[in-house]
Amino acid sequence: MYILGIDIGSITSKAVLLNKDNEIESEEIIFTGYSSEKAGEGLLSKILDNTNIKREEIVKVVSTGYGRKSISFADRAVSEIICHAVGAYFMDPAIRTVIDIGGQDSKVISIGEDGKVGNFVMNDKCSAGTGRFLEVMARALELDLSSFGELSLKGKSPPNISSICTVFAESEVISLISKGEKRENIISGIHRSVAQRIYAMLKKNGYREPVAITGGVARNIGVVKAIEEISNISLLVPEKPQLNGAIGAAIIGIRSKNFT
Amino acid sequence: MSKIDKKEIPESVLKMKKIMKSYYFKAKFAKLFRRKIAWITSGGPVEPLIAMGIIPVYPENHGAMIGAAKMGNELCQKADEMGYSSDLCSYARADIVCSYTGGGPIGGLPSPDMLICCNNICGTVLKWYEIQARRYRVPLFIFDTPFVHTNYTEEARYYLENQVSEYIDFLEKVTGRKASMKKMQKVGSLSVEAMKLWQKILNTAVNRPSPMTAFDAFFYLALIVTLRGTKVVVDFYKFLLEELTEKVEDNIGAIPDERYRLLWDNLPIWYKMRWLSNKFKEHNASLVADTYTTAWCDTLEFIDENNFIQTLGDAYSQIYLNIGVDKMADKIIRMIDKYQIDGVVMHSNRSCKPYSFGQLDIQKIIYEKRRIPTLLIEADMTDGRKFSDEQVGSRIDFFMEVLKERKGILL
Amino acid sequence: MIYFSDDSNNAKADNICEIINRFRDVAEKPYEYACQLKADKNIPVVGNLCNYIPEEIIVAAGCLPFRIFGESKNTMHSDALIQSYCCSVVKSVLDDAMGNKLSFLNGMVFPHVCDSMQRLSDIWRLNIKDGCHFDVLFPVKIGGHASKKYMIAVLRKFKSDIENILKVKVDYLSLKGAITLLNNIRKNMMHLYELKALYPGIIKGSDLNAVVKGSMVMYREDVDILLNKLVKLLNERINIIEKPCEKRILISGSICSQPAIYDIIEDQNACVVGDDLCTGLRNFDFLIDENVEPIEAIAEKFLKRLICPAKYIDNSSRSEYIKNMVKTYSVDGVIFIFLKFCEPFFFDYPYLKTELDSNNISSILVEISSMKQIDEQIRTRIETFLEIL
Repeated sequence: MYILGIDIGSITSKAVLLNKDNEIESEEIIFTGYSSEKAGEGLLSKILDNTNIKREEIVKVVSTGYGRKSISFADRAVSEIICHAVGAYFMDPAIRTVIDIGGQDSKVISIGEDGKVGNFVMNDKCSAGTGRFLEVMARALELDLSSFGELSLKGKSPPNISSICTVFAESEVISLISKGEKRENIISGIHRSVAQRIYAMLKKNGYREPVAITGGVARNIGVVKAIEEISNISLLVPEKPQLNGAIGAAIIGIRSKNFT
Repeated sequence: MSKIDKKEIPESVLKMKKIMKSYYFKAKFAKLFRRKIAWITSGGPVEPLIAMGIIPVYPENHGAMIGAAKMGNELCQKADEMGYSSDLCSYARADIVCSYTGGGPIGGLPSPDMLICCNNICGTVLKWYEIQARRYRVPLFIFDTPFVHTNYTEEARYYLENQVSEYIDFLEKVTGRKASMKKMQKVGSLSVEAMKLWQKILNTAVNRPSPMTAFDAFFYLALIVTLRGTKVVVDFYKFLLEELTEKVEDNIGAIPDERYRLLWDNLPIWYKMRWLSNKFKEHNASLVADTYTTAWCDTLEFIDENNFIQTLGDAYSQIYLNIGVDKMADKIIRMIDKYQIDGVVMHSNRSCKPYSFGQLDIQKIIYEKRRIPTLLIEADMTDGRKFSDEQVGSRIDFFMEVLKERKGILL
Repeated sequence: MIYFSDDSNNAKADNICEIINRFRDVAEKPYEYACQLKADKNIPVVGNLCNYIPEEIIVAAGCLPFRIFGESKNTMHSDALIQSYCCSVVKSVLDDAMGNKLSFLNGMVFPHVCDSMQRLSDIWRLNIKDGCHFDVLFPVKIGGHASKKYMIAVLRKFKSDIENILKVKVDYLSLKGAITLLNNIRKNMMHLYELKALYPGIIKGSDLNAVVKGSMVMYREDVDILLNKLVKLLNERINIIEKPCEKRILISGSICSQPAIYDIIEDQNACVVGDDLCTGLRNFDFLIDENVEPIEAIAEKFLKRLICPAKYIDNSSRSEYIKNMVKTYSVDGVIFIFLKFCEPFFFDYPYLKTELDSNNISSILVEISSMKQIDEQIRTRIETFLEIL
């Protein structure tokens, strides 16, 4: 008996297969592309290939994320707010706050002692605190986004990038490039900008430690360090932060099935 | 539980539409009826106008109608072209455009013979009315209500008392008639009676299920805003109260299956009322109370009914929008308890700074004191170009799921 | 570090350059200055954000009226307290306070002007515990018996509040002294502006801006000494021939804390011959009657010469004021410089533009943020406007 959790994000889609002992049997990450439905189907078939199990052995499918309602084979669609909270709580029930930085959304979520969501805050209309923002900046700098983390650690004096609008921030970065500013410094400045947005959200929502950070951007050590510096909090980063939402979805599936 | 027949429009709605139609008709043809017209702000002291037979017209009510008729986008676009920054209040922009083009759902408002501006709701009205005073070349009276950050000061009280005299002098001068204190007192009493009835109407939402939602209240609100002080309002609200009381007795809820009770803060998003109403209904959520409609009965405690005209300054300067943020939070907490609220929905309204700035503090206070979540929706009350269906829709979904989880329904 | 521990330091600023640099140092590092002043002279510092505050009473109380312009270039602290559709001055000042940069304040005065300022007062009171909080709410309408009575009552209340809370004394003599001192400063500032209008090359726009800003922050006795010297020295320079000014510009707006604007204009052989700014001439162009009871005299000042879009005088005072300035200073063009999200100024704009257009006066509107440098786009627009004048 297995439970499948699927998280269809705006940039990437993730799936996690749990067995009845709450262990991860298999996991997959792919680019979402144009069709959420197709992404979901793609994930399902990859998981089945990886594990050689039969489709009927997956007794419950729970979807979450931006494209959660497009997964026709899902038994249930749950918001990523709940899923990220459940996922983090499952990783460590002491966690009281989750920062999730996704493709087009960032969130700060408070978790109560019972694991339930207390309050949450999301990014403003046009905010520079998301994965999309970093993508745009990577293009402007002609770099691979995956190199951002390491490079930024070399950055010495991060220039201030003040715009909260991605388009204007991009202009600022281009202006810095043309002035000959070092790439490491610029990236450092970009990370600071993201960290400032996240810090403001932490304050808006209120937070209690320990604080965990999830979502694709959590793999960027530069962003994580920048947030830690600005907020003076030590962040918990799960081993596979991108999968947190899918894990949470799968856990919800298990709970509702009353597995023992 | 018996269900409302969805096809049947309540009689109160039909009655109200008739009253509003007649009111606008009289205003449009005021000259024929030999009546003067005053444009007045929604929080302005209308009672002396009614007592002197002046027809009050509300540009803000017009702004709401423009929003509800979904004409806000177009008018705001024209305001941009006229040189008005798109960051300015959308009510003001839309109304200023209409006064030049005769646009909007009723072909523009009838021209004013005078303008009465009370800044208890915001400072924007000061500029808006100055612009209209230039446009129409009519006298403007400003009723300046000093902000009550913490305490209502003695100097403010004297200032307001003096201004009431100035106000009446102004009206006498513009109309060429003497004011009758007896009439003013009578109108004051009717105003108080209307406010008490309005409070009773809003109180019916205490029942589970609530017989009306905030969306209904936004609709029925128009009378107490525009015709406060007249008998028509008192009679109508008595009728509405009966209608609602019957619903309570028959256990009829405004939405078929009320499971979550929410509080709305700030002005309505006029052009998305149905969309929002349906969205919440889908989640079995009823917006049972709101801070906006409450403002028109919330200052009863400051009014001395036997001395209405002399004490109207006390009441008008202590409305919800003219008090400190911590006082606003207190009022919300009281409402949360009174109406048994599960969650708060705040409209962060780009057009209304006095209502929106401070919401972030209030949100924290609500969570600290009552441990319930708040959803912040950033939009504008009339300019639809600032609304994102996708973003707002998904935030509402998330919020409702959090509420469901808290009630143990989700997992 | 800027030391003002005794008069001998001011005496050291002997030439024009040194005096201007003194003002500039204070204008660029106001918070350090305030801390140092407190350490040296033990003077309580009372912060403010607007001209409509009872400056004389604060000075008479032995305190420093300290204008805060806001230094923060990002809003990570203030974002948690106020939404994005708020002007940059409110945001950056709030950010400074939340970032503990203003902990030296003994008090903070909040006026009644715009909606953002009104709510800032509440947000500040709830979140910032540095110094005590004064809400000083002047009337919004000018004219009428009721306004005057109320204004006087508010001033008297502020006087007794500041006495009680800061444990200071404000007596008749100290009020008189404060009025005389501030009047002298205003006379000198007006004189500087006159010199600038008559001989535009006599002082750079950005230098005058530094003097104006510095004088809103610095200990007023020192400001008085420095201005006396500066005016005297500049008067001696009148006969020196300088580059002519081809285009005479008037700047109109609220707070223009970007000295770069002046440089951009002067680079195009144009010059700013006058301004209609809160952080400019509007803060100085009046005198308080020294022959009348002090509190009443202060009230009269506001009620008689008020030119601010956040208050109501009548329907045409502001446009008359600007048109008058254009005439008096022989202005070729007007540059409106507004802060994004500033309602009172933006509401007035279409009307003012119409008035200027119908009087054949060219104008342009530039929207800025006090937290950002002047960008290429704004620079280009101003340069183009000046070229086609």
